[in-house]
Amino acid sequence: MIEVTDARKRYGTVDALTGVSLSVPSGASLGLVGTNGAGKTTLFRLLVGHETPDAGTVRVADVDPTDGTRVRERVGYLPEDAGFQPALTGEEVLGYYADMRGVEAPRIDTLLSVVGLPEAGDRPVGGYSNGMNRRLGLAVALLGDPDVLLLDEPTAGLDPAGVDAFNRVVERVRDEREVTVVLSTHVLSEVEALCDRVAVLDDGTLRTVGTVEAVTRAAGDEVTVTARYGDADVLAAATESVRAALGDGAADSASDGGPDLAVGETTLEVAVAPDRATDALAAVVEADPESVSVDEPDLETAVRDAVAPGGERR
Amino acid sequence: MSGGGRDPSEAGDADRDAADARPDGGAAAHAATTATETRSAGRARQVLGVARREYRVLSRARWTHGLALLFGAFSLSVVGLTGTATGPTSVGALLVTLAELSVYLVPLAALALGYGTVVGADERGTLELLMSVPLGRTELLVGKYLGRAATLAVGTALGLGAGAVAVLVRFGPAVLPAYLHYLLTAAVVGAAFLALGVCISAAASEKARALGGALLAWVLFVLVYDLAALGVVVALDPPGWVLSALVVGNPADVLRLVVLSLVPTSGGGVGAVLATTAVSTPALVAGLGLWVVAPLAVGGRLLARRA
Repeated sequence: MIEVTDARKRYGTVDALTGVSLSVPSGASLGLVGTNGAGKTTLFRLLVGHETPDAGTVRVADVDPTDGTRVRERVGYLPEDAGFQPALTGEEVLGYYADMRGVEAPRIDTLLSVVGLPEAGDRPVGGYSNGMNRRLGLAVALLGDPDVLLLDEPTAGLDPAGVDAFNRVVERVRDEREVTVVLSTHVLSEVEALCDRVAVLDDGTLRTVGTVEAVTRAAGDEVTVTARYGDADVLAAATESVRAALGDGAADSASDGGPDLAVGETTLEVAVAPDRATDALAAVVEADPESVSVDEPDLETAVRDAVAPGGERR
Repeated sequence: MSGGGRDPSEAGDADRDAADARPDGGAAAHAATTATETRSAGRARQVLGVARREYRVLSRARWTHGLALLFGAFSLSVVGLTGTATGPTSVGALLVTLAELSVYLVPLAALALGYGTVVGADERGTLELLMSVPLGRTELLVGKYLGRAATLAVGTALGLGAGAVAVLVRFGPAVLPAYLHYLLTAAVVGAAFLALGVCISAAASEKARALGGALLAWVLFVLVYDLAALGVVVALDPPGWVLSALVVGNPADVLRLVVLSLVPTSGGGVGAVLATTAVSTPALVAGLGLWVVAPLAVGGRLLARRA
């Protein structure tokens, strides 16, 4: 549904995109993450045809986005700031955009219900909360029954309740209408909740792209259980106990793929494969620690590693 | 049907003959034509949708009221002063006075309404979403222009219409056609300057720059142009067609010329030169039409580049 091949875009002396390639199949959902200025909005503008790439190709729904208006008939776009006129009511906003898209008016009521604004349609947009404004923007993006939904930081500036409400609507729309969704966000939990794929942009360069599961796994495939014990004697006993519980594979190095034990002054770190995490936790707890923590590989670590591998910011 | 044109029935027969010669009897061509017409009608509805939205937004912002009040106060003041010691002394003088002052006011109001069309929407964040609708950039700009032109036309008609009522009461119905002629011309000239303002708006990167461009355009067309034109006339004594071109080259002068053609008096200076200039009504209409179309065409290009 979306194919971007070696897309490059430069503004003056600034490289906004430096050869980005990615693919989003029909019905899939891609989370685009990266810092401010990473190139997310530029990529969106290429996808909706507002910009032409300096090099490379972009195809959305089998159409070159800069080829006339065809792509805009099939794409619903919610920019970072929709800038609705505060004096207009929600119904009027939708009505005018429906006129501009050539969409029948009866869909407006349905759309307001879909985005959870059935009672607010006759109120001026100036009185809407940020969350309501964003959901109205989503309704505008849905007006043409799009095949592709492009959402540029749709929950930026929303409170947690607003984020939840917005994301529930996106989830429902994605599942019921089978649209291809691309959303940019700084909130990785949104990507985990809404997207099956993730792409990490940094300084205009695509650092990694793939399924959320694969990208997360790339951050490391070990779970680390860390326990703190009362004194060195207890720690020594706990270490022996854990080593015995996890079997002969437990060693001071994980190079063989088995459990890895790191012993500090009063702490014991056990790194194991995810399928042995429960065993490791049980063994550590059995030795009566003062405190225990568990670190699992997550998307945040994966994104951090993708942007700054080895902990160094490039 | 005027001479030289084909009779519609003949044209229909010829088209049918051509269609019958095709393997499908012309069904495919007919279907393609119908699809094109449907698409064009759809696009026209979409452009009008943009215009309706623009008009409604401006109405809510009370632009129509403001323009009506401005033009109403202006026309009523001039009509009210007619016959007083310092005011115009006759109906002809009234119209000339209205035209001379309108030459300043109408372009200023139109440029003020136009300069924020694109750059203002860009700064508010509206433009990005507007450009995501399936319309060409020029079509989008034309829609926005039409909405603003309607606002300007309604404001002008209401404001100067108040003057028309005053003229009717004070001078009787005989003067009304000339006044309405002036009113209509003022509205069309306003539409031309509005198109220029919209074009400036599409070119500007910031609203403040667009305002500067609009004011510069006003100074050029309302003040500098006539001085330059007068200089050309005095220095070169150009042929009539150059004078005509000079008039059509400035919509403000079209307004002057039209009003001067309605009354026997002209005054001096540029007015006297204009009074001796004969430009046909179709040429004036074509000139004003070009003043609407050309800035919008350029503006559409600029909007595409801006995107």
